[in-house]
Amino acid sequence: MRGALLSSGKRIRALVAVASGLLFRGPEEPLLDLGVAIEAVHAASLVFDDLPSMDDGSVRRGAPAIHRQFGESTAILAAISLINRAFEILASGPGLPPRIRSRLVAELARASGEKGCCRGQEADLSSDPLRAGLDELERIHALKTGELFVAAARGGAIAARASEEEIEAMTRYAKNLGLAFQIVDDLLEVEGDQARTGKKAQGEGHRANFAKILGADIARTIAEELTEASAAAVSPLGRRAGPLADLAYALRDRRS
Amino acid sequence: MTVENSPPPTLEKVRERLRSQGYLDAGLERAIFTAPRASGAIVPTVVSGATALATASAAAVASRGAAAPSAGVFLLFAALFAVELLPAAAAGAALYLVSRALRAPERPNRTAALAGASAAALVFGFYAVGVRRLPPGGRGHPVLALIPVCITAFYFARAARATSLSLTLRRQVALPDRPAFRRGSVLALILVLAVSSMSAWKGSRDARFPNMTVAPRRIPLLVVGLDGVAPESLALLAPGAPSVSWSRRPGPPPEVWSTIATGVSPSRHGVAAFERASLFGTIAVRPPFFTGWVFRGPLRWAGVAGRLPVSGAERRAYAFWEVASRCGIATSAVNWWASEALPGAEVVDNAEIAARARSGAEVDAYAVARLREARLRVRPLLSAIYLPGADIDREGLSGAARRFVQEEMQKAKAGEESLWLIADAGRAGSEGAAVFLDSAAAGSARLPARAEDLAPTILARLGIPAARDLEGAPLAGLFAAGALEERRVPGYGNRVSREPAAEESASGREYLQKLKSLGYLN
Repeated sequence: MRGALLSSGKRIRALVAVASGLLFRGPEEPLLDLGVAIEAVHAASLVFDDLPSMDDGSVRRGAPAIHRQFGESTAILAAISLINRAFEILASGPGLPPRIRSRLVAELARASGEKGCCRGQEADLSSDPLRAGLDELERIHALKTGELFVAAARGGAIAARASEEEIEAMTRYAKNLGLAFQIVDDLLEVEGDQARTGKKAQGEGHRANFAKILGADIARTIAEELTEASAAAVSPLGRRAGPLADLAYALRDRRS
Repeated sequence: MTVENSPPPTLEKVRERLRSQGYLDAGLERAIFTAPRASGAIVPTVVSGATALATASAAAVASRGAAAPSAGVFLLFAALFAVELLPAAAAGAALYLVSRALRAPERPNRTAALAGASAAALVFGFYAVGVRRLPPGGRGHPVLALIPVCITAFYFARAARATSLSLTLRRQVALPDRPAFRRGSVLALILVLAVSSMSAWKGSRDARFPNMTVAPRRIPLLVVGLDGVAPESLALLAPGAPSVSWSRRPGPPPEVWSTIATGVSPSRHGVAAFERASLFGTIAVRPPFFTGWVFRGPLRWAGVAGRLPVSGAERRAYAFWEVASRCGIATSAVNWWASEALPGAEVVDNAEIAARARSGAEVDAYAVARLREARLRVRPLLSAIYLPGADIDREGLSGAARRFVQEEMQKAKAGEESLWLIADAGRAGSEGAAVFLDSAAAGSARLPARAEDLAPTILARLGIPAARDLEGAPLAGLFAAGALEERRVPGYGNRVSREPAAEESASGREYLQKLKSLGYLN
């Protein structure tokens, strides 16, 4: 569990959750709990993703995949424990009324379950990498990656008791941000090297990705536009939304 | 087909696909306009609309050269803003309902553009109507006055467009392409509307009464207006005489009889009601679109607005007796609506007669007496009298009116004068008729005509060229050849009242009270 959760990583989803909550002047401690819970679920999903029965990944975050380090059964048990720990934190953490906590649990359960990561992973595994088109790739991304981004942004706003319109604005922010993040990730995967990305370079790899389907130029343009849309979505919320917009631009410009 | 072999989609295609999935949508319109709730979207439209409409009204006043109120332009604008809030709210509500009905239209950008164009057109429509309703002054600056109208119309159009867009797209998952605000097109539209609205002002300045040579008639002409007399009753009064009849749109007596007297419709002569509103004692306005209660209630209570009775100050077209008098014909006119003193002519205003009467019969009696006095004094070639007793009392022709008409008919039969009887059903209907006891009139069948035809026919019979810009024309088919003047002139110019006062006065209040006691204003 420690190896999966505390390995080097950007903690983007946790950042989104906390920044979203602080935007609406939410309480800090419950927001940190939310960030930890979301990162735990994300870490578990990566462990599952690297398993031999799934993507069979060997390198994750610049280190051997968890199942390569500790064995497959330990990896599975650790991932399950991480998920359970995440829900425990959300359900029992102090500082939030039960109604809000139960709503956060529901958000995270939806994003990680059959309507989110699990469904996305299944679609990814069953897709033909040589035939996958834009629509299919977008669907896989939206479920596998995007839903967790959305849950993070919405969760922060919910924890801070934002209005429904504000939660809706955060949803649009995260939706655009998640896809921009994925496209930049794919561009780096095609163009970058393992030392910088922490992943195996897949320029000649087996997986379809946005950079390959759209071409690097179009993919880059779309990533730019998604980032702009993401920043614009929170612009009506005023100056306090600045960190979220900065985060979107930083993710666009990242090199790893 | 493999990925490697498939041509990559174009950028536009990718954008389109992603938009259909809800990406590339910042939801700005929704974020702004749905907070705090949907109806809030209307507020900017209503506020900018009231501002634009008030500006249009104020600009119309300025373009007519009306004096600025002593209380200050700001207070005038504030009062106009309060008045125009109602039509602006109505426009906003209409926009809201249409946008709801058109939720998720196929072409939201086009719908929004149409809403913006309609808003701009509304502003310039207000300006044009305002210009037409106000009497012309000599120091107006219509082009300068249009500048603030253009600016506020521009922002009202933008607000209406944005509101339409936000409302129609509220629940649409995917937004269309970011709507391009084509500044050039909008400015072109504003320019076209501005130039179009200038047509309301065009020709109203520097149009002067033409020089006309008139061959005087030998036989005097008496025109008697009988209000509240149905065409059938008129036919019984003068059986077998040549006559015409018409139908008119419903309207109060000042409007109907001013149309008869001027030969133009109410939109041109400007007399439409028994009363108007005054603002700050310097500007007389006709309350626009069901806003009369704002003038009569809050603004009057605040001491900003006053009530003005109908008067010659508001009429913008010459009455036939005024044209005749300006052509050097001795004239007397008694008891007509919206009349006023005229140098060289005997004119007795409706207010003067009403002040002395307690019933319709008394009004008729006083009017007849005053006409007789005038005829003794100036021996007019043209006499005109308005007898509303039948309409006020609703008991048919009053005794005084009946006796007067019968006496004059005897004179007409004896060839001493021409007698034209003009009747209107008044509050009992919307028909009118005229009979011509005139040696030059021929035929016994009742011919169709318009109320606007009477003034030019009277003038042509007096030997005065009828104006081409009148909406009516001389009834040539009813008279013998040569009986009507055949020459025409382009127009008589603009009538500017000699008494453009807009101050509420005790006499004005008494007149309104008297009109009420006579059964009007109810």
